[in-house]
Amino acid sequence: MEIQMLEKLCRSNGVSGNEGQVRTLINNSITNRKTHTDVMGNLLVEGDSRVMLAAHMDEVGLIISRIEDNGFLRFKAVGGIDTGVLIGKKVFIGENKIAGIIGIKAIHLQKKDEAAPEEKELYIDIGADSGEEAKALAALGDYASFEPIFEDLGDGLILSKALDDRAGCAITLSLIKKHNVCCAFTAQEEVGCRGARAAAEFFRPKAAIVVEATICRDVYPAQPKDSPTRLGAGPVITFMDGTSIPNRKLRASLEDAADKHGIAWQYKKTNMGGTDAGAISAAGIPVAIVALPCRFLHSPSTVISMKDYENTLKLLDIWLSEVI
Amino acid sequence: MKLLKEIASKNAAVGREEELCEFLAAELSEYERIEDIHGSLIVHKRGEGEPVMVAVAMDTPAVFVTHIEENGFLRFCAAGIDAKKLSGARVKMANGAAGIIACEKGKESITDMFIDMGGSGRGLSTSDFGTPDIPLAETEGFISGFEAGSRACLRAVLGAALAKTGRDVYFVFAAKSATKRQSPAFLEKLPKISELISIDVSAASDIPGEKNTIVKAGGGVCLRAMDKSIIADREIMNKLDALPVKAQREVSDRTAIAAPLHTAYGGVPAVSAALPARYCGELCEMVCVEDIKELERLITLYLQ
Repeated sequence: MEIQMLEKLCRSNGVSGNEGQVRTLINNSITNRKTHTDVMGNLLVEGDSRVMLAAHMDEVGLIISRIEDNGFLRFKAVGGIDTGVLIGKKVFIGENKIAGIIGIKAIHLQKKDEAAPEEKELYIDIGADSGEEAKALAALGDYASFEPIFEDLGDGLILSKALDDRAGCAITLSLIKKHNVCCAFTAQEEVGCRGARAAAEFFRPKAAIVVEATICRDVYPAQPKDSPTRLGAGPVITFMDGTSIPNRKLRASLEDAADKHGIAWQYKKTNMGGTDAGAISAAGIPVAIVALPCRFLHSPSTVISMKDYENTLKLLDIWLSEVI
Repeated sequence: MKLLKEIASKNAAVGREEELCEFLAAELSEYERIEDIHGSLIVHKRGEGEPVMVAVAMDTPAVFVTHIEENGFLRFCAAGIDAKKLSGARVKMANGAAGIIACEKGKESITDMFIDMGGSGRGLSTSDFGTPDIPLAETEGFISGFEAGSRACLRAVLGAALAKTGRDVYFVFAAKSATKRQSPAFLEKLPKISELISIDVSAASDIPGEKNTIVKAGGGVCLRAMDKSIIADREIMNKLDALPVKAQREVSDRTAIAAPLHTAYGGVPAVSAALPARYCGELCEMVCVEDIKELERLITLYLQ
């Protein structure tokens, strides 16, 4: 059941500012609670405002910025994306999901010491022979999403686009079916956490928990010191990141709940990165972050462990039952 | 100097300001304390007229343990300071133990840096903090040490808070400022503030190698016409200009501590008054004793 909803969410397109498809899917899954969409595009689910759960609906992607006369499309990243992960990737553009490939000159033509490409050197090839032909298929401002893959790699590992933060959305959906807390499925997190502050100011909860996917670099040759988190080591609790210092009492209550119930957990071993917690905290709400480790974040192919997924869900379920 | 050294001796790592917070609260116990869930200390000194606010940073940059190697070396992240500046520094950890910050040979990245505790790193855990161990020292009218500038600002504000003044004033000792995460949420509980003075630290450039000396240590309080976050309110600036205090003008590229308060809840007119510090933002800063006294005098006279 969980994995089916996760797959549906991941296969939906929802680049920042264009979260409609994801929002509709989530809203249709909520049957017994009052919901509405605010001006930022957040989906707000009403409930007990002692605690607000927050998970962002949007994913990183691309936006078409120019159509060349030769039919190729130029683009800009929406959210932080390393250009190195884009080359050769398939994308789908606009409402009609026009397929394209992100291209660059073949290796045979590259100089030995050629540097990694900049965004402006890349293009999307949709097979059009001319600008006119391309304009019939795509327009400036169209969003391009990564190809919606979703695969079970075995050993409980799932490969998909947009696990950041559809995994958080799926967990939050499960939780609000059982717990009557208010909830924000936020918009535009990847472009500066723009939706979250509006959501926090609407509910003005006593506390908030952000449910996220977070960086994981535990693959060879990374050493333990280089790995902020490890896949399979359990839900990740943040003590500090680039945009927030989570409330220590809230954090401690999560850690205590995990320890009491034998749920293995881990700290995020870096203060890099940022989440909606920064915006929620700026609104004056004490906030904590619980996340799943996710390999290859902000790329077309990300990986989580379902064991971490289940333990994150279990921890938050227990916390909501026992602590508030 | 005694009070300044006492302030500097209290733990005030960003996000972990409780020890200093409670010390300051005890010094100011005769005034009303306003609770702030984000850790800032807000104190209300009742007086005449529309309420004004004086805000100063309470916290310091710090390092936080992220990983303990099997051989006892600690990996860490730095908050509020460039980790590269810490290489070779002695650090005092939360449990009082001392260590040295070093870097793997030939490497530069923070992930290649570590804290050598000389032993097993026992007694420490992930998320424990430490701060550079460079106590304040006085030489020929100057005070130097880790965060000398911000600790001296605290001393000046505390002195003004304890002095005889007349205006109704809220003193804000802001937590989490080293990572620019100070929260203005407490403003919601207060009446509308009419004026805000942000007490900051400015970079003094009267040292060898600096081409244009604008701010001098010993040149008096820096009254900022503009910085990255506040354009000085003319009325407040005129009032400060008129005070018999040694001062120098500045256009700064730094961000004021009170920036979030300046723009929150409809906004508050503000000016930043700063203490000049040589080697501002470096491991060890240096401030002039006379400037600290002038800063305290400025705030005290402004509040009369």
